[in-house]
Amino acid sequence: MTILNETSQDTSIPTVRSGESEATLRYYSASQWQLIWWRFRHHRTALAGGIVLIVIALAGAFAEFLTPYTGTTRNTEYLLGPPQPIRFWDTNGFSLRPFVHGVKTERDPVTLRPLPVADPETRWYIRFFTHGDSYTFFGLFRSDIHLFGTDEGFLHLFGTDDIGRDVFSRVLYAGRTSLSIGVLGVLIAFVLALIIGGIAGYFGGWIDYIIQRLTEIVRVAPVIPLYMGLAASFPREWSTEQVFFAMTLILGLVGWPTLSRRIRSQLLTLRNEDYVTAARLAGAKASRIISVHLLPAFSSYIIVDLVISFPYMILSETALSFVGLGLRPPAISWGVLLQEAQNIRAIQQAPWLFIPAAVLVIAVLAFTVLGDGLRDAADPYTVTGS
Amino acid sequence: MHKQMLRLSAILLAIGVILSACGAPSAETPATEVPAENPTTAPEGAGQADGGCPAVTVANDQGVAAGAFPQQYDLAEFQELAGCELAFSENPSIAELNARIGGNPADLPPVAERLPEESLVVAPYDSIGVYGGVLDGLSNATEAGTSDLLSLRHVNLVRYSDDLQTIVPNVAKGWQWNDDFTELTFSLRKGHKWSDGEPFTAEDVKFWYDDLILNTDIYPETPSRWLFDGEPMMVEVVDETTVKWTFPVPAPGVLNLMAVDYGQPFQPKHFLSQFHITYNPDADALAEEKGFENWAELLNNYYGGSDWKDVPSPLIDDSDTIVVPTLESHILVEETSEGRRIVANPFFHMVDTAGNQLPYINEINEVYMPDEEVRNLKITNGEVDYKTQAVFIENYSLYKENEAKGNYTVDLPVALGQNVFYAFNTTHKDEELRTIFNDLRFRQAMSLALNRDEINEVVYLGQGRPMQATPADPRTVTFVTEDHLTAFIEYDPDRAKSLLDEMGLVDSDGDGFREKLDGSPLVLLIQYSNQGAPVRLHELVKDYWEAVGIRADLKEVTSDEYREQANNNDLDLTVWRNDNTSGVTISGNTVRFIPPFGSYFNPGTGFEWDNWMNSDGAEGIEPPEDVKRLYELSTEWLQYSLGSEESNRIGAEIVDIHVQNLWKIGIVGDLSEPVVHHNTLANFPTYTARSYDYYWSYPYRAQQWYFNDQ
Repeated sequence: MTILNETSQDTSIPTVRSGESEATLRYYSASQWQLIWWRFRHHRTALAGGIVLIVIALAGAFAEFLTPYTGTTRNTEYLLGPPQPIRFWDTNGFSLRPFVHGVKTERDPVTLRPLPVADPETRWYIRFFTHGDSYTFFGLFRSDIHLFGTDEGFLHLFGTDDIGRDVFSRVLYAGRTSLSIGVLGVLIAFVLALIIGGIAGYFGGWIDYIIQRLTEIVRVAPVIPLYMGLAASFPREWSTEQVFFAMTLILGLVGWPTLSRRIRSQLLTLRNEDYVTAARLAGAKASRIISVHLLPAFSSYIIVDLVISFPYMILSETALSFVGLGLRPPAISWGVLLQEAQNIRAIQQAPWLFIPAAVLVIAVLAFTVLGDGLRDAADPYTVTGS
Repeated sequence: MHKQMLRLSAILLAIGVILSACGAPSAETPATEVPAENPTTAPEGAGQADGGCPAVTVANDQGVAAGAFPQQYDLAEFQELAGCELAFSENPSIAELNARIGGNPADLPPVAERLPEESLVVAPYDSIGVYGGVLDGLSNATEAGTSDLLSLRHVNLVRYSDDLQTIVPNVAKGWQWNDDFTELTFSLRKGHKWSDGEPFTAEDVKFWYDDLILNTDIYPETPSRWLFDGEPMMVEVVDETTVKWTFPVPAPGVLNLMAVDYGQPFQPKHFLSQFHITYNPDADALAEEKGFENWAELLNNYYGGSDWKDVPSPLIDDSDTIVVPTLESHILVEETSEGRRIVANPFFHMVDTAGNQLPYINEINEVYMPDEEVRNLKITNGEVDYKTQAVFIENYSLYKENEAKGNYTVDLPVALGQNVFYAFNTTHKDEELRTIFNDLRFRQAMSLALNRDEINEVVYLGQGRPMQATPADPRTVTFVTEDHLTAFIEYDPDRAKSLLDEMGLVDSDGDGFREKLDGSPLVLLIQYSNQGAPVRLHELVKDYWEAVGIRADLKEVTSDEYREQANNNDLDLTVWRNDNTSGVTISGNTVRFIPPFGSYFNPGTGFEWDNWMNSDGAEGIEPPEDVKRLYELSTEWLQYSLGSEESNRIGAEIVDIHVQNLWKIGIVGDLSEPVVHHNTLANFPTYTARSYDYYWSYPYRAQQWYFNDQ
């Protein structure tokens, strides 16, 4: 039974008596956002997607603390080492404190490949709040406390790459970069789309005509060559941060047309509504009419659109970095990690280097189901299928 | 943006497919059986050949005594030692192959007439071979990583035997020095013919030197290794098969140079003279008719404008169907931007001990593959028959693990000249950078900042030894000392930092990186080609340098781009393997001793110093005293035989100067590097050393390799 069905029954009985009616009362007095949230809550997959995203975002934000190593620390005793399984028991019995087996790396005498050999007799216990590589947290204070780590030996949950960097740590650091590129890129695209789409849709006529042609020009520009040209023009003196912001800006600058068109078409429909005419007759300025009367009318739609465009932004960054045009090492993003994994050695000898791909897929899926759930929830007054 | 999502998922999917393909058991590749030699195409497998000569191989000499030189005989010498008359036979498909060679006569004379009267008889390593087959090889791109396959068909007057110590005849039948190494007389093979059937004579040698090397329209600047104390030699045709070189100063290293150099001191006069103004007064008109500016440009279209023969031929732009005739074992018949096909030369001068004209292999299929990962994939899939150049020890495990699957063998012979150098541009166009790079403290700091032990473990599988770069490979000469090799190689980032502080390079804006002396950002751009050094190495070096506050960016470019920019003096620093440093090479060629400390293919630093020296001070930048001294020493060095007391004294001083100045910062030496060959490729010996200095496979006689599955 949907909320709406409930309401339509309840409206025939105006008095409040039962518990069910209290819900009705709450429903009547609820704001639109509360309604959205109530409906969204029932969308389990979307909820799960949202939680996954929050986890990934938090993991990225607190990467320094959550990872045992920095993203660039090399462990030359464990080159191209596989993930170390966390254990609670082995042949020597059970331990409440999780541990990994000690590892000695020897070279295969024939292939000369470094072969990590786990020694089941030694245990490297995992401890919490260990001291390790020092880092600066949000530029505020220095610390060397890591959530977990080992006192002796080392701990690589996702294994290491061919110069001994911890893949787990790198995935977390990369998540921060990739997500923030997504967020910033979407925000830039969003603001541009609002302004451009708003003007075009509200004024219509020749202004709309010109803006639409401009939009088409941006849309027909082939994206990859455009990125290539722009990326190649980054001056080499630029630091990693500057390249990062430039990338974000580029993604935002080419990402607005779709949303801008949607806003425009919505506005074209809405601007002929009576209340808009009323506002106009009352002497409201165009900017006020657009921002106060028109945009809120389809804000839910905009939110959904935004959420759905996140994964495209992230994938664009990943694709660009993957082909070597985006972020460059030592910046770490999912794209950079995948780019580093694109060699035969990784494919044949170190499949764990593709863990970032799995995380990327999870993040993108999470965004998609979240967007899906939001779309359903966005307009709480509509009747859904059931 | 949807497109990118599709693209990425396609890439991910592809990776998945590759993963699953790799995981699948390779049941479809059974061990290749060696088929019995096919009696219809194969010559006598062993024992007595038609003419009754024993099929001598390196593995089994059949009781025949060794000749004057290891593993080969002159025809007369062989027949006398073996007491038999050698009858010749040919590749059954030679007529077909000949038909593909542009400009060759349609009807070939019989094999006995195609071979020189004084053929070179070579003993195959293991067995008399079988004709046929196409050798699949990889190069990086046009003129990049191609010398590997060039070395398979290469010939020169002489050659190093596979012991890498004995010089043996090849195109020349023999040679004679005078007492003070100022006259060198070569005797050529009677009846030797170019690949188009025209006779090869002493005139072709004279033509090469007098009309090409010394002609200023062809070479505005004469290549330095063909000058002796700045003066040309004199080439004299004594008779059709005898040519005498007279040098203005003793030049004992010339014979070494001939044994290892890609340049061939003979060119087909009968062919090239038609474009040469000296021989054809109408050459300019001819050039114009064909759309070239002048005769030299037309001639270069065939000759290539350098004695480096691997320049694009007229086939690539369809300007002609004919290429320059050659004496090599194979000749180019097709060339595109994707690769080349090279077929057996029907007039090649070698036969095996059963009288079969070499080469055994019909054709070389050279494919250009710029992407290292694709090359690795092709190698591990067994799609490549032979590869030496641009395969590095960092991938040795990968190659070794896939040996059975790809049905190939990867060896790990000693490799010379593999120590990668980083050479800062001491005559940089940017004055500020030039000042910094010229400060010895900077170069010392950059050397001390490197953790060579870690590099050795991570990149070189722990197989090398941290080592400074020297202009002479320490394993090939005696005058390089332990002190030279260990100078400034310790890992001491603190000292590096204090040296940089001392110079005044400080981090004034607090971004963690030092600024130039004028306060502007200092960023080194390391441009590299994956042919020059393992890619991982640059990433580590960048890390170490940034750890002491010197920011470095990496950019991968093709070998062509790298060389063009390097030789145009546009790079902050050059980086390549420090090759061409072994005793044999430097004994005849001092290009590593003096600026720019390398050839066009592999330069170091100091272009403007060289410019200053060459222009007598009119252009360029005046070099420091140490560099001027190197020019003197190099001239002196060439006049003594390698290994003599004088030579060692001069060599030691040269190495001293180099190591003190750290123009080239070395990383890890004493390396071994992979050599890959398919298991069907027979008569493939174990390499004594893998080295460009000995011209890759030239000492290992690719003419007698054959496919045992033909």
